Amino acid sequence: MIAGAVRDDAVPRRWRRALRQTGGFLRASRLNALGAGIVAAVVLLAVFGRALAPHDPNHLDLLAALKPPSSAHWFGTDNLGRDLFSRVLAGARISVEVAVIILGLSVAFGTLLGIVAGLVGGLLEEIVMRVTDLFLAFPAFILAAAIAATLGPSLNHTVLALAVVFWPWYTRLARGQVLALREREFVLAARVAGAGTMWIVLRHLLRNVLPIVVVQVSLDVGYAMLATSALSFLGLGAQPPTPEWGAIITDGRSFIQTAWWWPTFPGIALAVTVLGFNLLGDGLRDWIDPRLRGSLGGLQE
Amino acid sequence: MRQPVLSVRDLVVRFSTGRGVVHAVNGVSLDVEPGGTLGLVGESGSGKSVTSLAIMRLLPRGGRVVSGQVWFGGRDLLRLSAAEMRSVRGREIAMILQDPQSSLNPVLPVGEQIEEAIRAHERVSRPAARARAVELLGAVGIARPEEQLGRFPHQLSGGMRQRVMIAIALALRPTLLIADEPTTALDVTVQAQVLELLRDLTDEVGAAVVLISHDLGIMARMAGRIAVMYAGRVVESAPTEELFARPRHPYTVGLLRSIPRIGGARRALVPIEGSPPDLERLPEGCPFAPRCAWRIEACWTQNPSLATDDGPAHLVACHDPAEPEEVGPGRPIRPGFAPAPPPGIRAGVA
Repeated sequence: MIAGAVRDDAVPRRWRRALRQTGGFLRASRLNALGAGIVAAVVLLAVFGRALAPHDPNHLDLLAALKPPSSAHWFGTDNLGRDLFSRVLAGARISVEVAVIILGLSVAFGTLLGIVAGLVGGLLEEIVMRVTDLFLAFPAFILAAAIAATLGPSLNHTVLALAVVFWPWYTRLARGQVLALREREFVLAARVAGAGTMWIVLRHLLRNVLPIVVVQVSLDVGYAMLATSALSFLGLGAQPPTPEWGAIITDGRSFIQTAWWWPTFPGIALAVTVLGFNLLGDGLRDWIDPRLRGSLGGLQE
Repeated sequence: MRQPVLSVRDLVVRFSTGRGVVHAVNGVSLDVEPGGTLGLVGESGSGKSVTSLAIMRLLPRGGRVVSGQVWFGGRDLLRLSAAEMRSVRGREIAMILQDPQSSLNPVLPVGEQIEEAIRAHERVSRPAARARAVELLGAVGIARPEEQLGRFPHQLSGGMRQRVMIAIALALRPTLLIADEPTTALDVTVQAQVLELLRDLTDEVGAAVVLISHDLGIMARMAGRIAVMYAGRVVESAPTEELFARPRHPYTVGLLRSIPRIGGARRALVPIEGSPPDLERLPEGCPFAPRCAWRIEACWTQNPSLATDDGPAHLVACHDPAEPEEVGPGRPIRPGFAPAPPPGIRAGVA
């Protein structure tokens, strides 16, 4: 290993290592950099978009209805004269929030259930895995649509429906990892050193499962956003006037002949965002395994 | 003999598998002197590792201790509560596992793993634990220990990883260290260094050692006393020199004859004929009888128990132990002696 940071104290060294690794990830492939760039932009827009937006996303201006893109309205306006650029910016926040909540719920529930099932084994594991099979056997999108339709159309119900669709994947992922990990000698070594079961779950198993879960999350964020927009497009998700991308597209769909910009810009925003998360996820998946990093580090010795 | 630190009495361990019950350990008794090194030898499946895991009460799924006692520090470990046992593990009895490749958590830096071992049992601050970790890494002969703290296990060589494991094991100055084939996974040159380190450090800490190995060469160098295991039982136990000079059990005789020697006349290695018994269907008599040249009729029907022989320190479980002059040739040299045939065949002849 290059002796770059040897004599500093521990904390800066740790930060420097993190920075160096991030740099390595971005340099490993241009697609990694592109994905990370898009994701960073989307997250920044989600946080600061409202401040940057030139107009209130829900402000009606009937005199400026269905205007094509111009310097005043970069993405044009819709049939009620709302500024589509501002609406797309506001939609970024909704998409990010929705993805965070969906994945937060399904990861927390699914991963924990998977780890416990894998570690405890026996009847509990059998029941949990059969339930996940039940969920996975059903076409995910149709299940989500059915749940959202049953609960009634609203963004909250869509989020809940998608969380229900996503959690079994994490349960299976975590349980599969734990099945392999629990036989590994370091789990025995931890027990030999006097560690209890909870310590092993939190310190050793979770730490080992987490990188893989993170990769899966980065891949799923795109799908979660896409599915939310798809449900909104079908009228099951966000309701007017919420500036959710799928909802904007659905409103603008019938105007595509006369006002092409209306469904096009939110569509591009959605496509680029999903692409960004998928690129990041693919890149992370290839990068995150510390043993892959180690093969590079080992060569430098 | 002084009061032993560890005293295992008639330990019986069985595994329930889908197909049947495996009799892995069948009445093992052992004593480890304070500061002494007991070597456990035997081939694969003889119950060495299972015995050590049973002492730690960490048997894998399906395994359970059927009977016996494990006396350590005046307590029977088999009767402690789970919490009491956890505080024994790591602090009073430490263990080094066979494969340093996988006994460190791959996603945690080694420094953290050493600190963790300390902090699991002692209330010390992180910086204090860190300082101890640096000191320990230095003590196990790792150069520039401060730099190594942040390394991940995959960045270390096998020998270094095993040194880290030794550092973790001895971090809390345990009274007993169980080392299960600590050098099997290492290069021969590294083996010697690691063993030397292990001996020096356990001497310094004053820890008694149970060293598990199938390598008699390692045993000769490391162990003060050797217990030979076969089919889940101790068949012979004696001080190391005594065992090498005057083995009594036919299995020990065979074991000693099967190791290559440098310098002596070149001769073919002598394997022990036959194979170890099926632990799911143990014979009624001595499990070694079918492979034994010394067997007498009693061997087919009665399993001999471990008893003193040639003085109080030499224990052997055999109806018809080998005489000193029979060790060289590796078979009984007595006029008219023939190994007793199995009872079934005898009945057929009659």
